[in-house]
Amino acid sequence: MRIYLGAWLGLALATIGLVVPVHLLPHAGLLLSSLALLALRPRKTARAAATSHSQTPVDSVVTQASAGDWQLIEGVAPSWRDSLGQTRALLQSNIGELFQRFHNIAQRLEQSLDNSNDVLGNGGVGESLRDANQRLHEVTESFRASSQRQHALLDTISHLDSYASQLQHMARRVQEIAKQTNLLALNAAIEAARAGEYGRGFSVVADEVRKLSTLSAETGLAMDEKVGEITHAIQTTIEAAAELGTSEQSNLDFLSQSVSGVMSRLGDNLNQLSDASHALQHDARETQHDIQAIMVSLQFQDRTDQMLEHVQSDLQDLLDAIVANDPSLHDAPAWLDRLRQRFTTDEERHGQPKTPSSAEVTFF
Amino acid sequence: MAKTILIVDDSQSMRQLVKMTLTGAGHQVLEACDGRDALTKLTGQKINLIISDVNMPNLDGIGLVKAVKARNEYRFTPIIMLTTESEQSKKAEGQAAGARAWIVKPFQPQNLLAAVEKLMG
Repeated sequence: MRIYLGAWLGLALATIGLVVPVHLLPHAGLLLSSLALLALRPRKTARAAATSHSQTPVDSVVTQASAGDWQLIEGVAPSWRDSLGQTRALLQSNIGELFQRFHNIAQRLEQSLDNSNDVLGNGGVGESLRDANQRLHEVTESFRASSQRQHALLDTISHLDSYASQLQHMARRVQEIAKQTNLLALNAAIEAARAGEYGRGFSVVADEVRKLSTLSAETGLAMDEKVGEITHAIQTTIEAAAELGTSEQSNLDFLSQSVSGVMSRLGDNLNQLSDASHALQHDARETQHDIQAIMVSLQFQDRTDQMLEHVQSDLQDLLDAIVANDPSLHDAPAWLDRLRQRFTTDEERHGQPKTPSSAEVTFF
Repeated sequence: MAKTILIVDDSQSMRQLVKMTLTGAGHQVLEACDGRDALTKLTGQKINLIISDVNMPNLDGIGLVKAVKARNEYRFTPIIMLTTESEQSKKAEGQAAGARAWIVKPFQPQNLLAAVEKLMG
């Protein structure tokens, strides 16, 4: 029986060497050990094919297998086949989970970026702070306008004080007129008494005029007192308002300075927050790009799975052929041609992996 | 507006990756593990696009394209081949069968999405 055993082993080793990542080597250990056992037998080795990409695996040197080899392969190959199946299943499930986890991370990053944009962008903290600054400025200006109106009111009240002084002067004038009138009435009464019976009527008039002058004097005095009270009240009001105005101006200045200080500090904090957020956004986008690259790289599993499946299928074919003592075991070139027909990846055909690019999309 | 896309691939992890890419863009997705399974999903419902692997058991991607084009209700449904195959002869087979685009794995998700939107636009 003749078969290109070395070529087959070369293909198997090269495939596993190409596709199985370092962290999965323990799972492929059994298979590699078994293959190594055969590869170390005294025949031209396939190891060169496994370590060199310049030569495709199926171009390896072929040798002749003995009856003992077939027994060994028949006994061990099912274990190789099962190990390949386990490796494929393990890769499938773990890479699927990695896809899911990276996808979740990318989605969370996207959500965080959206939230960050909401906070920093229109309608976010920055705009709220600018709005608050504007409103506080309006409040301060409102207080300032109120203070100015109060000053205008004080000016008006000051004028009332001068009117009160004039009123007081007029009230004193009334008292003087009443005093003069009283004197005139007293003289009239004296002259009426001299006139005797003829002056009786005039005497009555003089008495009434005296009463009126007395009443006028009392009224003038009362007016003088009331105007004095009013003047005092106005003065007190003016002094209190002036004191209040001074205090209010002080408060206004304090309010204005406080608002400016707080807004300035908030603005500084916002700028720092904005800078930090932009840095985080940049990092998040870089991480997203890295995740995209990882998602592409992880697709090695699909190529790996196909290559392992080809080895697994060929191994099964070999077992079937051994059991059936199939004549194909004696026609290595035909066997290798059938194997080549299964190839679907550039690594299998040329020993070189492909790199993704936009040129990978072809429209018909 | 969400479109319905049928993903056909014997690799569960690849279906998962393609599904995540498409659902992330707001599309609805149906899955099939090979060409034969895909044909059982084409039961009259609206399918806006099909993304299919080429090398699959039971019925491969080229066979699936031919079968889909033979069905009146789906003969205008665009089909993207997503495969490790990069041989020109295979691409020519896909084109002759009626596929509209050929994307070689590993693929960039944004390239797949761009092709999907272009063919469904």
